[in-house]
Amino acid sequence: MSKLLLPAGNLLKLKFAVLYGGDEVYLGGKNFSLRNKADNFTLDEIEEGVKFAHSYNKKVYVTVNVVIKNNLGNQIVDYLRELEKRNVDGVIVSSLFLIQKIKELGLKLEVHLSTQVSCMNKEAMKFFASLGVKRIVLARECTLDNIISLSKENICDIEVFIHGGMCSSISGRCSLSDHLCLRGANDGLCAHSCRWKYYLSNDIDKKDPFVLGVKDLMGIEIIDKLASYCQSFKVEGRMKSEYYVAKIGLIYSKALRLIKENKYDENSKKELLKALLEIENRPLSLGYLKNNFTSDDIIDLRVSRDVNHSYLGYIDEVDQVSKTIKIVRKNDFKNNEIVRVIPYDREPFLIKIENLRDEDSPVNVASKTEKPYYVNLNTVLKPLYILEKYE
Amino acid sequence: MEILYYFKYDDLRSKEVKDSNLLYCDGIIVPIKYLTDKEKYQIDFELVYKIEKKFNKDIYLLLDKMVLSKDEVYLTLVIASLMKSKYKIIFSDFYYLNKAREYNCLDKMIYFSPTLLRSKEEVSTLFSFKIDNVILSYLDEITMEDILSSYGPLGILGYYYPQLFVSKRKLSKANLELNPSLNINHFDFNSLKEESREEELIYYEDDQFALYSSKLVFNLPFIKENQDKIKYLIIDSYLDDDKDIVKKIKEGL
Repeated sequence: MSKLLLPAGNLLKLKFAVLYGGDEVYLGGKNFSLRNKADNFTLDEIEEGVKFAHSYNKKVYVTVNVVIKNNLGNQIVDYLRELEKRNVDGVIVSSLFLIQKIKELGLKLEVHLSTQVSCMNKEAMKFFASLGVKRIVLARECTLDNIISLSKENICDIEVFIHGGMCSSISGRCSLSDHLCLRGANDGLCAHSCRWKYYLSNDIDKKDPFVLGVKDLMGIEIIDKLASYCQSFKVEGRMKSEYYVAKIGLIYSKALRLIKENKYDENSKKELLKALLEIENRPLSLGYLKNNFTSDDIIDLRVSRDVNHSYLGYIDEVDQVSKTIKIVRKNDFKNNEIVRVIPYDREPFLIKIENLRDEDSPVNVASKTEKPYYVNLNTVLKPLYILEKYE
Repeated sequence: MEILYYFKYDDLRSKEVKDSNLLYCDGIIVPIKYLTDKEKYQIDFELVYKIEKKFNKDIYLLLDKMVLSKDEVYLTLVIASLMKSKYKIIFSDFYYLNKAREYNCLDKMIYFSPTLLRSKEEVSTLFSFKIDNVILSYLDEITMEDILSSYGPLGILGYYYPQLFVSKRKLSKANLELNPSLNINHFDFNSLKEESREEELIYYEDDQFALYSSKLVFNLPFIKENQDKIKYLIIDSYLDDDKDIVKKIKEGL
């Protein structure tokens, strides 16, 4: 059965990913991954994250998928040794040099080929499998039919992007961001320049934008068609919030559970689709997973979208003695407000915010970003439960 | 050092030569139909022998398009001819490397990726796979010189407009569907500008969308100084029409 691979931009997000449905998580260290703008992990944090994930029988993969610059190879190999020591399950790499080194040194790390290599045919898969690659993250250009036919070759494990941001260019072949603002995508610094506004040069009045950017991927409608063919479904989004990771995790893990139980019918698809649309701020499409590319897959820059403010915060600590919970606030909530609790181990339920206070005194509104607030504990609540607006 | 030049156009039935660069270069790179990013000037593989016959130069087949499953279907029809031909092959997708192993012709393969070959480490790894010839990615001169000094002679791009973006998505067609009033030249170069910048970005779309910078990269003194470490000097004038550029470069060296 397919695993759900969730992103972990930092240690907190890793915990949410593990608790809220991820079978596996992927993360980047402070160097050598392609999301330099995410918080990322120190080696100690990686060790802590691995211990946490392993305690739930979940796996941790570390992205080491920068394109290697001159003379950095040995430094990265030392880093791989450190990852091995910290019991990381595998690494996601794009470099032939690293793939060879891992094999040569006999490092106990599964090798997953990054999507940066844009592997999308069986001969390339055979080549990488011959080097010891265990899993290939297929290029995001692969269609539903391509994925199924490549999987049937049984060359190695297949991982497919199922949800999140897409590159419009072939991954690894884009230097637009580097060219326009000296932020190289292959150095982990992509500025998403494909999402900027462009005009045809003959459009002197700049009336009609020319779109390079494509909508984010949302594969909930076809995940059942792929479930028997992919070893892992990947959610993109190491830069996204813990709330996003948790909600996406809950939705896709539920889909996989229903598929396993042979209960993934049209009604459940509709229900999960609705839930996804409630949390997404970006335009979405099925992309190549519907087997073709149309104008519906590019971002219509003339359409604006609302920002979602449903995420109120998460429970940081529960003090059973003083019957108090500590909440890390993300959006405003008020004293006496009814809010929805999204737990990771049971169905959602409602609570009333009572006796809201900050570190000094009672307040009517929790309005300060990332500040701790305290409320009375009247029911069973646990750390890392999410609080959401109830409307 | 061999100067390689991309075949763009010529009348292969006539003795007259329209692009005199083809006379001055040492080898001709031919973008092969359905298998190249340089779609505007792609040529049927069956016509390559005519180019060879007319110009009597070494021929290099350019297979730089990333291979989708649908391309793989087409390739099953032509791969044997490509691999068994006497021509060298410039490739980007590891599809070809695996096939070259099968056909036992690794010695004719030249790896090229505009973005992924940026270090001595990667070059030496490719050598360990018996790929003896590579063309380095777009690089700053210090890095390039360092790699050339350690592993040269290698191929480099000597005169080119960097490819910034290549997409399997037909973005031009999609934009036109979304907004039919766009003034797009089909099957020709079009130019875009980012809203706050003046630089023109040139794109061409046939089977895929490829975007290029309009800024030429060319550093003759660097080439001159390092020519003993350069095996192939690639002159890529895909976006310009200077019919004497190869002659001028040769004279400058």
